[in-house]
Amino acid sequence: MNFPSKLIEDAVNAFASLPGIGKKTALRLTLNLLKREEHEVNAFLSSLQKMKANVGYCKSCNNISDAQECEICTNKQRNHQLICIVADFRDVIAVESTNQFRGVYHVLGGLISPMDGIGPNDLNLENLVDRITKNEATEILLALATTVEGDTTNFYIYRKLKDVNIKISTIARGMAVGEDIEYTDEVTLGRSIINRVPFENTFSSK
Amino acid sequence: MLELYLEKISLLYFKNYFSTEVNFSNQVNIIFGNNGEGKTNMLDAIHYLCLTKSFLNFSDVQNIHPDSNSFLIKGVFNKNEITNEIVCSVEKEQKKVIKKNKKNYEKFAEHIGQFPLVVISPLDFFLINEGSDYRRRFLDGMLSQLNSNYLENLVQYNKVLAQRNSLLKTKQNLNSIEGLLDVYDFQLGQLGNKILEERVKFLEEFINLCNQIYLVLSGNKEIIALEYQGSFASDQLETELVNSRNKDLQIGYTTIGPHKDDLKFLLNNMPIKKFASQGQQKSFLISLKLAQYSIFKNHLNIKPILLLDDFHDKLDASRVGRLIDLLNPQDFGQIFITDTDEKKLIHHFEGKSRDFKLFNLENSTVNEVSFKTLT
Ligand SMILES: [Zn+2]
Repeated sequence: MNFPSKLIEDAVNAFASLPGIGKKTALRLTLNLLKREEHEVNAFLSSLQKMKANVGYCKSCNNISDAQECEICTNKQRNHQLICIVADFRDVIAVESTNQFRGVYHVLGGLISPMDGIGPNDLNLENLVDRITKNEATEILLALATTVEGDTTNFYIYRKLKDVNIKISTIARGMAVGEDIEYTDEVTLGRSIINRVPFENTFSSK
Repeated sequence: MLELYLEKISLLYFKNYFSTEVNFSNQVNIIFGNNGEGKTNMLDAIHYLCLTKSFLNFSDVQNIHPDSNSFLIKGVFNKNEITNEIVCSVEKEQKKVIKKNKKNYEKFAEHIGQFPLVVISPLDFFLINEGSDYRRRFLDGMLSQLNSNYLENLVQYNKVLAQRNSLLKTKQNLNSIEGLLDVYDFQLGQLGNKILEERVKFLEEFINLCNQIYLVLSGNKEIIALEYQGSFASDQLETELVNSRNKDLQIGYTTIGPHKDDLKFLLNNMPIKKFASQGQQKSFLISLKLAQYSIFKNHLNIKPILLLDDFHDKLDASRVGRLIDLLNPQDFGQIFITDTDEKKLIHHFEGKSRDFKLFNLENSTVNEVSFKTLT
């Protein structure tokens, strides 16, 4: 693609560096911004800058949060004794959109995968036991992807908690979260949260 | 028993073929021509239609005619009086497409097993001469076509194994990775024990059949055996993996498990690779493949398609005669045979009451020839 302006070319390349954006789409977005009022473009840019500078992680659950503690963790109406373990914040959005879960979350920030250089120490697992004690939690709900990495992480957490007196459950098998999130409809995911099963049952019968 | 045969094939830019359409006999099809004319490629095209890939270890792109960017294979199968059109198309830098009755498959695994097929070819010698992975792939391939659960366990096992090996390669000290190894060894143990159990169960039936067939082919002279060489005791994989951690960590990969097991081939109690003649080896390999045929037939309730590439390869006249007798129409469905010498081959079929068609392959064109013009 040849551009009459180096400035436009730079902007196009910036857009094209985003996932899923090809050169053609990048050009369309660039030309759209070019046509807009200057203050509109400034507002657009400052929203991105503010997002990058200020978004942080909740100190309790590791979910993405504007404040030190996220809105779910500070909500007194929610059941803090039920903790749902998810891989990343997209899974929080998916589970929240089912309206079937009133507990709190614990966001791992990934799944165990030595092939991708991710070991247990790279995940938010250190403070899980402390959090269980602090919340006086009675149940852990494992909601990880049904991949080998999800299975491994499930088993790792299960073993880590074997001396902790707590019920460990998992969403019904065959239910996809994580990687498969966009193929999962809210009703099915919601149903599998209601029909969650004790984790031991998912492998002893295998 | 369900009937299965390929009525018709059309090839477009596949290997040396520009554009070809052939109507087959539902019994025996003999394709002859000089070497290099593409007899085997015709069989490979049939293999594509049944199992979505080449049996000649060619990549899909390598099978495209040099004048084209894509190839297309279309086949019309008759399965129990129902017509199925299968299309396989490959285009450079595109994903391969397989369609059944105009509908795309999302997963090729769904296609495999619907049109079962067995190949006998000179490449079978790899099973004797090459490393253990060829023998495992043969065994796993048969089990996967019969049992989708087995395939699923095997895929899972290999994924967990790859993760365990990655962890071992980081060469961290054992204490720091023990917690994670506990999980991997548990997961591999569960899956690996089941894989071994299925293999052993399958081999019992398989070995029996191999022996029966070999006895016929060799004229009741010799006894063969297949021994499973396991790297761990049954139901003990988890414990044994835990015990081999130190060693595995030193070497940097997992040294025991179904991925390390092997099959030992014996003739009169001696290793076939060293102590058997090429004719005996070929008869042994044919026995493996015909036993595979027999198991597929019994378990899937369908007579698979049989491909026999380079029929006279390493076989003397008496063994060829006994093989032809084995391939009788009561036990076998549609058969495709290639050979360089049509006279020698037709001689075997003369007087046997079965339908067959002859095809001459010359300058990349296939012509049906009548039996009379040759005798
Ligand atoms: Zn939080």
